[in-house]
Amino acid sequence: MPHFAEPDSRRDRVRHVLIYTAAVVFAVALVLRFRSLGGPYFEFPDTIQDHVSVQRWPSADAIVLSRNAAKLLPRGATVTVLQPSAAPNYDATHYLTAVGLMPHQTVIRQNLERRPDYVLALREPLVHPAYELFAEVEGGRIYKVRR
Amino acid sequence: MNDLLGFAAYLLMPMIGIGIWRLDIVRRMPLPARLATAFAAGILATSIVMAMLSLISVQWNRTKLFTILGILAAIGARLVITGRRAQGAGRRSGEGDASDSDSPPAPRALLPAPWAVLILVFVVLTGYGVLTARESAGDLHFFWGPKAVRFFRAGGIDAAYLRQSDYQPAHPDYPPLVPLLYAWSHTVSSGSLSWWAAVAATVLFLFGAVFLIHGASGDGPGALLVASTLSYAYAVGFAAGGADPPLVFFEALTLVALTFLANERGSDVLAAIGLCGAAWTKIEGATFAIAVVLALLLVRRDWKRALRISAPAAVLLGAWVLFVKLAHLLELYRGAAMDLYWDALPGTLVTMARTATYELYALPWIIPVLLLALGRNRGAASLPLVVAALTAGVSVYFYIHLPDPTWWILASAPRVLLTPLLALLIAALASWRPRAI
Repeated sequence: MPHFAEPDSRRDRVRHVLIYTAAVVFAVALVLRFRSLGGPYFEFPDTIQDHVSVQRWPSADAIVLSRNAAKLLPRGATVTVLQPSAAPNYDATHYLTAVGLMPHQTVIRQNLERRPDYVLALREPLVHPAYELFAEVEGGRIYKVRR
Repeated sequence: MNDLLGFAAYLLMPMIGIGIWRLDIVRRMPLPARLATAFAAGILATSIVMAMLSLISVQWNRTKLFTILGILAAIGARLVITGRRAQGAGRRSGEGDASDSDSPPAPRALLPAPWAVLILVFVVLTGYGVLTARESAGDLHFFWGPKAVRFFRAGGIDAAYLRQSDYQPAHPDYPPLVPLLYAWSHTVSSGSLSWWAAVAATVLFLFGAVFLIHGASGDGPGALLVASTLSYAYAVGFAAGGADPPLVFFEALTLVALTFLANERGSDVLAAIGLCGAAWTKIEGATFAIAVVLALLLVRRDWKRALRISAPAAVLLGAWVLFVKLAHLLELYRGAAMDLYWDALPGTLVTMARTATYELYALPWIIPVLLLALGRNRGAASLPLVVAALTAGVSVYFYIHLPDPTWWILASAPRVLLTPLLALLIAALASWRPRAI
């Protein structure tokens, strides 16, 4: 059995003060942090990414759009997700997010040269000669490849 | 309902791992710590069962998994009951441990200790943070969750999906425990993967680690320090739903077993379970396992114990790496052998130091360092301290594999540094109250 520290009440008191003070500081810091991330504070959010930033996080939009598109698009369709002005930036944030939310479709990288059947456009319209608007849903627009 | 079932799947884990209660060292722990050890054993057993079924091409479904895991739980429960009976018979015949049977029960306090109340405050705060989407890891939606969904749909580890070039950014070679665990949750909820259950499970992992530390050290204020520090660091690092909470949980199991528990077979089993879980959770878990082995060799010069506790993790990790090779998946385990950019070292250290402040003047590090400085039994802190130093050093080593890792550090360091932070916290506790239960 390992030996114990000699009882030392003053040291123990210092230890307790340090730990309890730190715990209070961490608790206050947590509350301030949660507050700084913006409200509403007592509503169950729509997505797990709703309050990770003061600004709306791109993946929150991707979640909402993918969730809605999954109900509209046919099984087996190839799909990609992008923000037209930003692509290929945020590729992982956008198309990888859709992979887990659209299990009945095939989500691919943001390469329109591969002509995916559908493009989910976040935040802004997609202007591309090969695609036409298919539907407008919460979170963005769905474009279908022209055949 | 889907979310409740998805979360219930995690709550079933202690039942599946209850056989671990057979160990004397676990039996002597308070109930929350016993539940946490069974939680760890249950997760590891479940993920191994799911992986083995995949290996022999048996597709999962709810019936198969419930049957197999139910049998495991029943065997475990039987082991515990027969163990208790044997212990009871031993006591009656005078063979039992007198200190166990003769000592009077400790008087119950009317009010909970202040540290316990404050830990509860952090449970509530973390629960609030995860359920209002203020701590969620992006990686949950980028790769852990999608893998789980695909594995669930395929009824196994889906190598064809992992091989596709479109999904290379989702790290196909990452160890399988987290996607398997989420696939288990998906299996229980059936309808769809509960993303909310995945982030809420963070509370179980975080306070499971706290219960383990308290149960093994008997240090209430120390457990409060761990609870408050990690609650805050998880929030800053957006860890909820990612692989870091289970990683830290398994690491805590190994470190408490080696730091606070008596050197006996049971503590080796717990340490080995922790290493297996860590190595199968993240690549960083493998480096943690190596750090623990090195620490055991450096501090205790006990190569037999190092071999005993690390061999199961080496076998598990080896099996996964073999699968990665045979399935022709993108493999990053050889990343350590890539070129190093020593020019990037100063910038890496500065950026890491900035990130390590956790936006609170580095308080998460300052308190344990102060406690270490004031503690009298610093020798007892040696092992976790060496692990802290090695795992922090390995982080730097990995970062300088890029000529400019600034973005990588900013995105990952608050979570990567949780391992050395945990080890430092345990070292700080050990320097005050090294105690075998």
